[in-house]
Amino acid sequence: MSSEHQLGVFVDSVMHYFENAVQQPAACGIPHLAVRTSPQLADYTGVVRISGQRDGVVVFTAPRSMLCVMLMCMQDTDLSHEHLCELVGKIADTLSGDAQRNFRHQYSISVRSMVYDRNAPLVYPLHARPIVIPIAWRSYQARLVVCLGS
Amino acid sequence: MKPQSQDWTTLADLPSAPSAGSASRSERSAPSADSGAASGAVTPTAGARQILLALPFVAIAVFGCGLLAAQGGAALRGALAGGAVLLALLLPFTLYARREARERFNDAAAVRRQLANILGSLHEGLFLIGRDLRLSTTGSASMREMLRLGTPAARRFEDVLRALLLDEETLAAAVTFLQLLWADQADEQAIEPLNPLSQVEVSFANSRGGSERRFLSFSFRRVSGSRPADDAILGMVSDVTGRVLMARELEQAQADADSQVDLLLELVRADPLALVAFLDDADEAFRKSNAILSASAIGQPQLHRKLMGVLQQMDAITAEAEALSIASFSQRLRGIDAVLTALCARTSLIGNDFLPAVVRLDELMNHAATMRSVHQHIVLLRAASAALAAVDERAASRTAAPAALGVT
Repeated sequence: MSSEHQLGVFVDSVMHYFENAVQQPAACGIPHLAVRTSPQLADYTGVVRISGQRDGVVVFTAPRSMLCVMLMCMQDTDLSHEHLCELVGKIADTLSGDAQRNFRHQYSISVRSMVYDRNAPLVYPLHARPIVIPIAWRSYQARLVVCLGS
Repeated sequence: MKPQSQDWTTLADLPSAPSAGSASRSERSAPSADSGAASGAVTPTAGARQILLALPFVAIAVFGCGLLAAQGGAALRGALAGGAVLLALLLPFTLYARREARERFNDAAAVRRQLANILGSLHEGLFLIGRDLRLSTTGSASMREMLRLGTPAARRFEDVLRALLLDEETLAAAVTFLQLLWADQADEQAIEPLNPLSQVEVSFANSRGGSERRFLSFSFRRVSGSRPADDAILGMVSDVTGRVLMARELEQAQADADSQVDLLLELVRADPLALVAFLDDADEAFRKSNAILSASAIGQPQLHRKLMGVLQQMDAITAEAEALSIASFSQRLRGIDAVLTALCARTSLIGNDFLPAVVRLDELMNHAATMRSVHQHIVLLRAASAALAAVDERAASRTAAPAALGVT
């Protein structure tokens, strides 16, 4: 399965979540590579690990303010830390579910994990450059990071 | 109850909404010679109907008896007695007929539920095409999902394909193939290899203005019903995108393995200093390209400017690679160049469109890193072999010197 196709599946997955759950579409920004540096994480991060033909990681990271507005758009007034974690977890679950559906023969997809620290060290596959895809929603910016080793 | 092993077409012919009327309709229909099982199922109800038909006459007779008894003096009592007997006679038969009708209705509903479960759980998309090449109401849920059809019923299959296929020739060939399949004298086995949709690339427009490419595999089989009007073409569609992309990737991997030998030869032949200079330049160009992509941009002009910037960086490196005759690099650079040129030609760009360019940029950076690593190994090997040669030379000169002294 080509990297291009895999990236497309993950991007579509996030876009689909915004369209359906939040009822407001997000826009995919210009993707780029994180060269010799790890991509910056925001306040809340959902991580899905992938193993199989290629080992890697798919990360959705978003600032607190964006997640709060997303919850409000979903008619939810509980903006607690736990609830924000749950929201990022749901997005990570969507990524994981779509990956399972599309790549079930090639990969095994781990249960998602959460990170709440901007400086948390995420382990990326050796010799692989993460591809960073900015996700713009309203005036907020989240990031989808896909890093698949060879 | 109809046997469950009957063919799909017959199952599909069941009315979609279960109703009491549907049961009575099937009772009313005359049993035909070609539906033995069905006529067998109708027999007990037909017997009950005959009894029910006879009941009014029995009732009239009983009521008449009552009236006659009434003339004898107890008019009211006689009529009531007659009525009571009539009701007592009617009740078991009515209950029996009602139970029969309910059982038949439940059986039909169970068959319908099973059909719905089967069609709902199939991974493959199943659908039926009529003689007018229109889709029937029956189809699996995955068919609607795979072909992205909201309401497939009565839609012309040609129109469905037109929205998906990338070229008119395949569409025309598909229509001709289906017409051929409908021909009574056609040999299904013989024309099967002619199916132009056995593996076809399709494109779905998405809500974000882009398009999604998939590979679908269609197969068709003519199915005969009990009546000519029930004949249909059973179509099956499956998404083979993963399989096709895997096959392509395998081909690419094989080609890459072949090119490893060429790469090694290229590196051995290349001037080491020029090669290192080229790799440094390439590294810088790739970093600049990535920086251009990561910088913020608003509006189409800025997106096009980004593209032009990356294209310029790639053009400079392509010229250098061609001058040094590094074919493996030139080939990859032409690949990204083609992607960027195609994007430049588009009037409207979105972030998704840049994904292929970024993937190719990553591949180029990987290739440059591999080249540098292999080159370093070659340099080390050359140095080691030079050192070995020097050691050999020294050893040879040591052994040659005493011999020369002995001679003098």
